Amino acid sequence: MTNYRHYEAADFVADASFQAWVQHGSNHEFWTGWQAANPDKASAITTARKLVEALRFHSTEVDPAEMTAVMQNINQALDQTKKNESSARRRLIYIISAAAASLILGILFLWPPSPATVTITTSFAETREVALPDGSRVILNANSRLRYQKSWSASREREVMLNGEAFFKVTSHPSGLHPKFRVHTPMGNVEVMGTAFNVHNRRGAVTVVLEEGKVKMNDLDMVPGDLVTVSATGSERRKVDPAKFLAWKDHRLVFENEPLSSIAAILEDTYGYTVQFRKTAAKDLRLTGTYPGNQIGLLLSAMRAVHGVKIEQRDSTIVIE
Amino acid sequence: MTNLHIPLQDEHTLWTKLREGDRDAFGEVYRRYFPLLFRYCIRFTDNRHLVKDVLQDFFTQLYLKRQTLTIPERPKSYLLVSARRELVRRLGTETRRAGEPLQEEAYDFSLELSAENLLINRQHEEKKARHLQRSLYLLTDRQKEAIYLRFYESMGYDEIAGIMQLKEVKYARTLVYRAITELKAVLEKDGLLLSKH
Repeated sequence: MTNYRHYEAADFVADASFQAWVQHGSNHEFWTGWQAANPDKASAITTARKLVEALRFHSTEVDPAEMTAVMQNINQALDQTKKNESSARRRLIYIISAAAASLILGILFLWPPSPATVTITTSFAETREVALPDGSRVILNANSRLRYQKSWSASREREVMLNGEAFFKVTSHPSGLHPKFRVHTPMGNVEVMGTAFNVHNRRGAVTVVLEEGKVKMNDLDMVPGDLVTVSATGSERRKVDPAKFLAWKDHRLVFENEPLSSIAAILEDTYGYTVQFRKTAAKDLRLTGTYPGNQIGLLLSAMRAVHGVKIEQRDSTIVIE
Repeated sequence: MTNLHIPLQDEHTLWTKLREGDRDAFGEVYRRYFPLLFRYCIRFTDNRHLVKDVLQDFFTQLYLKRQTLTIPERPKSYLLVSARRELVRRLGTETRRAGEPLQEEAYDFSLELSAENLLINRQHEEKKARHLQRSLYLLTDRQKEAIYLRFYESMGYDEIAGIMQLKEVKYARTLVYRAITELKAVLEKDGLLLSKH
């Protein structure tokens, strides 16, 4: 047994058994007993506890669907190898490059990295306000990326590339610059004349909500209050209250009869949680209300109270019973 | 999500079977370790496709070269070392392709506090969490990697030294301690460690 008598705060923090106690409650008896027997170490222990508690990291996990897809590629490669051991290597390369080809859309999308490109990224739970070279204002939501050329000219359209979600307030007809402003996303682009709108581009779909002015989403004219969603399965247009879709700018989450499944998607995309549903039925439960975007605990409490479901949170994982 | 209950086979049996060419055993190794390797590798790059591609290649090769495989005593370390080596090699190739000069061991390791921590209820605490986040940015990439392995993956110093290819085990300990000391200093300055609530 380690002799902890001479341990200082930093030593406790680095100790595996101590970490396990703080993080998962393991070795509980030992540590409570030790604490009681060594009252002079109380402050070192408190300090160490707080440090370990603070050091909970956000983790990007693989999607189960991605894991299955990769395994299928591997199985395919291995089956091919079995059929023809001699050309194993060649086939493997062929299959891997086929997999790569299917990603071409994604790759085309990344602009060739050059010093003239500006890239702005936000981490989970972080929003950032950006001023573009033409004076247009962009509020970038969490877990998003915006790219654009550093200098803009009159001969070339003003263009930005968006992954994630952002609100745009576009300057109309800036002097010396091209009148057209375009937002590119993997599912299409938004053409703008000077206006305010929200672009949400996650999970293979892009949703544009127009607050004021006029935009074209893939040649479809939009008027204020329009919502257009484009995904691989097609596009959809409907009338909405833009305020609900812009609430994230003011750090609010507004739900109107929203299924828990889409709330879970927001918790994952914007805040970096992993949300698991123990029972599929819970996905269809609905929630209405406005919640502060920086206190997810309140949102979870509301979900518990409204539906009587059990929700457990451990680090970045939320489990809904 | 597949929630099939897979009876826990002991690692040695599993790897022995894998070496004999058992595809089910291979599938089980994949299920057990892919998520771990993914969340580690994704810290070196935000290119998800590249990470998946590297891991796909890595697992394919693991099976194809099974006969030359020595059954690892600590599979987790073994896989982390090998996957990391492969990833760093590929990142080097990508960098070269992008026309940037290749630097040995020049890599980013991103480490961010969990959203939960950044969303502590009271506002002044949120500010402290942000300070802490900023101090994490100040750590070197190697310090970040070491404390990630120590705190998130609960690895021993010897394993950390192995994974990060440090010449001596004590260097791993130094990296972890230096990081802790720096973070502690930031928190102390903010009075976070003194406040009682």
